[in-house]
Amino acid sequence: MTPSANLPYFSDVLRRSRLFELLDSQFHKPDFLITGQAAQGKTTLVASYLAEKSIPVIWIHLTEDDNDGEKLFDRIVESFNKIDETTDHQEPLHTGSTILGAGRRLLQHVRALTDLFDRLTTPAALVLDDLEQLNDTSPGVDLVFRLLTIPNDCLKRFVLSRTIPECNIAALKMSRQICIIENQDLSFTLDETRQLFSSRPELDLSQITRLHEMTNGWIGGLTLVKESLNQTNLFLDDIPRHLSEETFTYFSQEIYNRLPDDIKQFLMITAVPETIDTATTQILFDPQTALSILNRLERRNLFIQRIHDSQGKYEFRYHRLFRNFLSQQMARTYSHEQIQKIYRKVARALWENRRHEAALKCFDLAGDTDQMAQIIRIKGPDYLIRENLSSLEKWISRLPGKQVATDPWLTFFSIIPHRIKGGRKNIDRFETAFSLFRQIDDLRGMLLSSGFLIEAAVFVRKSSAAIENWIHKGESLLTGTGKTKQFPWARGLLLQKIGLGYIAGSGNFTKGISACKTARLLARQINEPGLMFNISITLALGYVRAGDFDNARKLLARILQMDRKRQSPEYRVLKHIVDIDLFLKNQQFDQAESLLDRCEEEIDTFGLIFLYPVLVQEKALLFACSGRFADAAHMADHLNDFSILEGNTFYQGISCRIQALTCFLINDFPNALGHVNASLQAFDPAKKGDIHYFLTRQLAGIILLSGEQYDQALDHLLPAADYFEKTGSGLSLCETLIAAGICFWGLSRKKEALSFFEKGLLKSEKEGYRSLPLIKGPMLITALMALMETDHFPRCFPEIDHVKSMVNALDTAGLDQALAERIQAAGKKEQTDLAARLAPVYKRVLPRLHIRTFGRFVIRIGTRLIDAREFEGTKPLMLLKALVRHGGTDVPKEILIHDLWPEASSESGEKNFKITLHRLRKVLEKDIEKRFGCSYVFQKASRISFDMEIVSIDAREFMGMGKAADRLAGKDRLEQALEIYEKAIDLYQGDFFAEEPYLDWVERQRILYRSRYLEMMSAKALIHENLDQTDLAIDTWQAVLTIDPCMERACRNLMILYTDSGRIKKALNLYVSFTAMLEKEMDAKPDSRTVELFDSIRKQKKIKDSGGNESVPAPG
Amino acid sequence: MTKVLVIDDEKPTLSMFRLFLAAYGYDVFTAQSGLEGLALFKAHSPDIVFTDIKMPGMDGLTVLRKIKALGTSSQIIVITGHGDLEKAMEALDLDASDFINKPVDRQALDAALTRAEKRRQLPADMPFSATLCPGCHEPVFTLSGRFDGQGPNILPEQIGRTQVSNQTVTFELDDSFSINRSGLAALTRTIQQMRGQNIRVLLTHVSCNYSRLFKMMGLDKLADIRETRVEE
Repeated sequence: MTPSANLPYFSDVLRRSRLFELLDSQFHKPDFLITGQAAQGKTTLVASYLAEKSIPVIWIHLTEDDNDGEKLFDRIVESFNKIDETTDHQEPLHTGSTILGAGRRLLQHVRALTDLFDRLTTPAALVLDDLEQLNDTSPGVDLVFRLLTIPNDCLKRFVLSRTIPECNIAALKMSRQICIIENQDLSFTLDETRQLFSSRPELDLSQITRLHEMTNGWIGGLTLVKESLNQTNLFLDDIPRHLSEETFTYFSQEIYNRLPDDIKQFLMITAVPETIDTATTQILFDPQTALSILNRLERRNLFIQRIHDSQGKYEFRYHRLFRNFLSQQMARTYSHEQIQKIYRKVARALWENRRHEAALKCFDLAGDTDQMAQIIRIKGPDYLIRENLSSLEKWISRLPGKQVATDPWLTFFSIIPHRIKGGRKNIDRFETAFSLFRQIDDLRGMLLSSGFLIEAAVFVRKSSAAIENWIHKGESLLTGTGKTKQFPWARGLLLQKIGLGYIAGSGNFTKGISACKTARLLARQINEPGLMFNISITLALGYVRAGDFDNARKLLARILQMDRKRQSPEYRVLKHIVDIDLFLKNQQFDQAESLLDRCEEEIDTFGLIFLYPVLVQEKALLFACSGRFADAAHMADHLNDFSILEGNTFYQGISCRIQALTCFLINDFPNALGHVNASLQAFDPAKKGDIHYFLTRQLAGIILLSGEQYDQALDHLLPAADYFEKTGSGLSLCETLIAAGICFWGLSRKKEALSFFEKGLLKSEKEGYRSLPLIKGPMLITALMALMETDHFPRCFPEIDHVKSMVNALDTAGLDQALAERIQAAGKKEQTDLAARLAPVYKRVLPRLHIRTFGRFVIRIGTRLIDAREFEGTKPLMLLKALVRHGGTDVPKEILIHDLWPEASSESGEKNFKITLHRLRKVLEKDIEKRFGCSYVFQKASRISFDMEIVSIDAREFMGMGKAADRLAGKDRLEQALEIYEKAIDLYQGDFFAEEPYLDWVERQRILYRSRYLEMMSAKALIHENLDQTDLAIDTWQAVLTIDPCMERACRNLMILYTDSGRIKKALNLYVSFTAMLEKEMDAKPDSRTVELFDSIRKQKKIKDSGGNESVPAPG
Repeated sequence: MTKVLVIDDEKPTLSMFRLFLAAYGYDVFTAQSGLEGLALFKAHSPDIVFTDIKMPGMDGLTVLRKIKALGTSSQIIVITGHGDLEKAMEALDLDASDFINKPVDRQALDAALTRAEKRRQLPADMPFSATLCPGCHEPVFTLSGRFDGQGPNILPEQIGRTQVSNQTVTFELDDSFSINRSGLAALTRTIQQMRGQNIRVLLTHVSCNYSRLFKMMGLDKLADIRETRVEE
C-alpha cells in the first residue's frame, strides 16, 4: 500500500498536541468519531495526526451521492483498489453488482468490505469525511455504521461529521469500540489561540483572551479574524461580541471584496466541481497564474485543502462553507446563461482531463444532456466492466427518456442495471438494443447485447430453440465480420454467455465448454479477472453437468483461489451448487448436505431467487439418492409449487422427474412410470431444455426396462444415448448405454448387448465414474456376467479397481456365486489370471459376515443364520468370541490360546488352536471359492484378524457410531447426532455376550459397553430435552433408570421434566422411590442437588395447591 | 417500503414467499406459526399479511380474528387449500381482504397484492354502495365497499329504480369491493332475479381470486365474469 489516498494536505497549522495525545491513548480502538461545527479543524486534525502516524490512509470526502449505499460502497472499494494497484501483490476486488438476487445489498456490501479489510496485513486508516452530507436514514449512513462494526485489527476507521449522528453511536459507545472527539474538544484553548496569533505581536494577552472568548475557540472564526486583521484595518471593536457560523459570510465577504477581479473569477469557477485539480485549472486559466493562486490560498490555510487525486496528482477542495459562499457570489455576479456557460466550460475541461464523473456532474448542472450522453456512450463499458452500475443508472436517469430510447448505447446501458430484476421484459429490451446497434452496424454493441440477450433467455428459461437461435446469432457475430481481434472484452463476454446458454440453457455441454475455453483465452489475454471468474464458474458447471469430474475438480480448486477476491454471492452459490452436483454424483451425501445448507442461507440472505429452484432440485435429489424418499417427495412437491408460482412448467418437469426417480428407487415402477410420463409432457422438447428432456427419457427407459418392457425402453434409451454422446454428457451416456445393453440382453440380442455393455463400461472406466446412480446392482451384475461369458471383460476393465469401486455400493447378491461358477468353468491357464483379476470384485460381492454380540449371540452370513450346532463342539465358537472380544484385528494367537486353553502347554495349545481355527473357517467359509484367496478370518505373522472389509461386528459399529454422534453433538448438529445415537442404541440389544455370564475375559468389555450405552442414552435424552421433545426425553431417562436405577442425573432430569410437563406429583413420587432405592441398595442418600430440586418442586406444589388437599410426599 | 408478513408452518413455503416478495420490492417478515405471526404483527405492523389457514396450534382463521381484533387497517390475505371453499368463506366472513388457493400461482399472487396495495389507499370500513354510471349507454353499476348481506335489498332497489329490462346490466367491482357469505348469497339472488327478467348480467373488474370464488359458487352460470388482468 502507498502511504495515502486523498489524504488532505495541511500547511501552517498548529500541532494539536493535546488532541494527538488523546488519540494516541485511544488508538487501540478501531473507530473514531470526530464531530464539530463547520471549520472547527476536524479534517486538519485527523489529516495531520495520520500523517504523523505514517500509515496508509484512504480518505473519502462524502457527498450527497453517497446517500446511495451502492455508490458509497463502490467508492470505498475503488479507493482500496487504487491503493492496491500500486502494489502488485493483490488483485483488485471486483464488486459484483447483484445479478441474480433482489435483496440485502447492505449485507452483501458488509461482507465484501469485511473481505476487503481482511486483506490488510499492516495498519491503515479509512477516513469518511463530511458525514453530515448524508441523511440519517439513508442506505449510505447504514453502510457507514455497519462498516464501523466490522471486526478488523489493522484498519482504523475515522468518521468526521458536523453533527453527531443519532443512530448507532450508543451501541458503539457501549461496546467501547469508539473514541469520540466532540466540538468542545476541538475548540482552540486559550493557549492554542495565543499560538495562532503569535505572528501578531501587537496583540496583547487580554486582546487574545477576548478574541478567544468571542469565538469560543471556534477555529474557523479565529482564522477569519486573523486573515481580516492581515488584510484590513479591522479593529477588535468591529468584531461582533460572539462569532458564529453566520458571521462566516460577513468575514468572507470582507476578505473577498478586497480581492482582484481575476482572482474572484478564479475562485468562483474553480469552486464549481467538488474538487479541482491543477491540470483542469490550467486548462481553464493561465497555467502559471492558476497554480500560484491555488498554492497561495492553500499556504494561507484559507478554507482550501490540498488532496491527492486518484492518479497521485494534486487536487484542491474548498471548505464547504467557503464553496457555498463562492456559489452565492457567482449567482450574484453572473446571469443564468453565463452560469450555464461556465458550467459547460468547466465540464469540458474536466472531460478533457479524463474526469468523466465530475464532467457529467457539471454537464448535468448545465443541462447539457447531449454531452452527458456522449460521455456515457464512451465510458459506459467501463462502468459495466467494473460493475459500477449504480452510477451508470444515475446518469442515464438524468437523460430524457426519448433520447435514451432512440440511442442504442443509452438504451443498452439503461437495461444493464435491471438485467436480472427485469425478468421477461429484458428479452424485448435487449432485442431492441440489438436492433438499434444493427441499424448503425455497431459490432461491439451487437456483441454485448446479444450476450446479455442469451443470458436473459437462460434466466427466464426460454426454450432451447430460442436460446440456440440467439447463440447462433452471437456465433455469427464472432466469426462473420472477420474483425476477430476487435473488442476482446465484448467477445469474451459474449463467449461466456454462449457457454452459459449451451450449458444451462440448451444442455449442449460440449459446445458450452468449448465456448467457455475460448472465452477464457480471451479473458487471460486482456487480464480481466471479473470476466475470468464468471467464465470459470460457467465452465465448472459445464464440466460437472457433462460428468467430467476431473476437470471440474481442478477448476474448482482454482476458483477457490479466485473466490477469495470475489464477493458476488450468486456466483458463490453457483459454485456451491457445482460442488453439490459433484458430491451427489460421487455419493458424498454429507458434504452435499452441508453445502446445501450454506447455499440455502446465501440464497435467502441475498434474495437469489433464480438459484432457489436449483437448490430445491439438488435437495430433492440428495434426499432421493440418500434413501430419504419421503423428504425427496416433499421437496419435489415444493419444487412443483415453485414452478406454479414462477409461472413456468420447467421445474414442474424436474419435480415430476424427481418423483419418478424416488418411486423407481423404491421399486414402485407403476407410479414411477406415471410421474416420468408427466415429466416428459412438461419437457416438451420444442419448448424446454433438451438436457432435461433426455434425462427424463433416460429415466423412462430405465423404469421400463425394470418392468422388462425392453422394446419400449429402447425407444427412450437409444435417442437419449445419441443425445448424451453428442452433448458430451458422459455419466448419463454410460448409464444409458448399460441400460440399453440390458434391454438387448433381455431381448436375446446378445451381440448388440455386449457392444453396448463394452462401450458403457469402457467409458465409465476411462472417465473414472465410481458409481452410476441409475444402474442398480442387478443391472450391473447382468452386464458384468454377460461380459464374462466373452473375452470382453478384460478389455472393459484393464484396471480392476474401477470395478471394485463400482460394485462396492451396489446390492450384488448372487454375483459371488456367478463369479465362483465362472472361475470353476475356466481352463487351468485362464483360472490364475481370472482369479487375480476378479478376486477384489469377488471379495466385494461376498456376503458379509455379521456378528451380533449384544444380547443374543448371532452369526449371519448374508441372510443365512449360522446355527451354533454347525460348529463341531464349542471351541470354534469360543475362538470366534475371543477374537471378537479382543477387537477382531491383529490379535496375537497366544492371547487366544490363553483364553481358550489356559492350562495347556504351549505345544498342545498351538496344536488345539490350529485345529480349532480350521474348524471355524470351515463353517464360516464353506461357500467361499478358495481360488479367489478370500477369507473372513486370516492369520498373518501369528496374528489373527477378521477381514473387516467383509466382516461386521455390532460392538465395533456401536462404538464407532457413538464417536460420530458425539462429534456431531459437539458441533450442535443435534438432529443428526440424535439419529446416529438412536442407531447405535438400537444395536445394543442387551449385554455384551449376555449368554456368557461367567467368562472372565468378557466381563471388563461388558461393563465398558454397558457404560457407553448409558452415556449414549443420556446424551439422547439431553438432545430430546434441547429439542423440546419432552415425552421422548422422559421415555429415554426412564429407560436409563431401568438399566441403572442409581443414576441420580437421570432421576433429577426426570423430576424436572415431570414438573415442567405439569406432573409434579409424579416428580415428587419419583424422588421418594429413588431415595428409598438408594437407601436399600447402597445405604446412601441422594446428592444435595437432588434434595434441593425436590424441595423446590415441593414448594411449587404447595403454592399451587394452597387450599388444595393433595398430599405432598415426604422423603424417607 | 411496504411491509408484508407471511405466516405458514411450512419452512420451504416461507422461503419461497420471502424470495418472491423481496424480489417484488417488499420488506418481508415471516413466521412459522400463528403465535409467532401475531407477535411479529404487533412488533412491525405490516401493511399486508398472508396467512395459511391450516396450521398446527393457532390456525389461520384464529390469526385473522386476532389481528382484526387489534383494529388494524392491514390487508389480510388468507391462503387456503385447493378448492377449500368453506374455509375461504369463513375467512371472508371474518373480513379477510382476499384469499388465494394453494398451490399459489403467479397470477393469483399478483392479483392479491395489486388489490391489497390499492385497498391500502382507500378508507377502511367503506359502506357498500351501488352507483349507476350516469353517462353510460347501458346500465353500469359500480359496486364498492363491503357487501355483507346486511342490506341485501340494496341491489334490487337500485335496479328497480333504473327500470332495466331486456338488456345487459354490468356490475363493475370497485377496488374497495369485498364480500362475505351473506353478501354472496344476496348477489346470487339478485342476479337470479335479473335473469328471470331476461336481463343479462356482466360482472367486470373481478380480481382473479374473486373470479375463482364466484366460479366455485356457480355464479359463472348466471353471469358473464370478466377478470381484471394483472400486468406482468
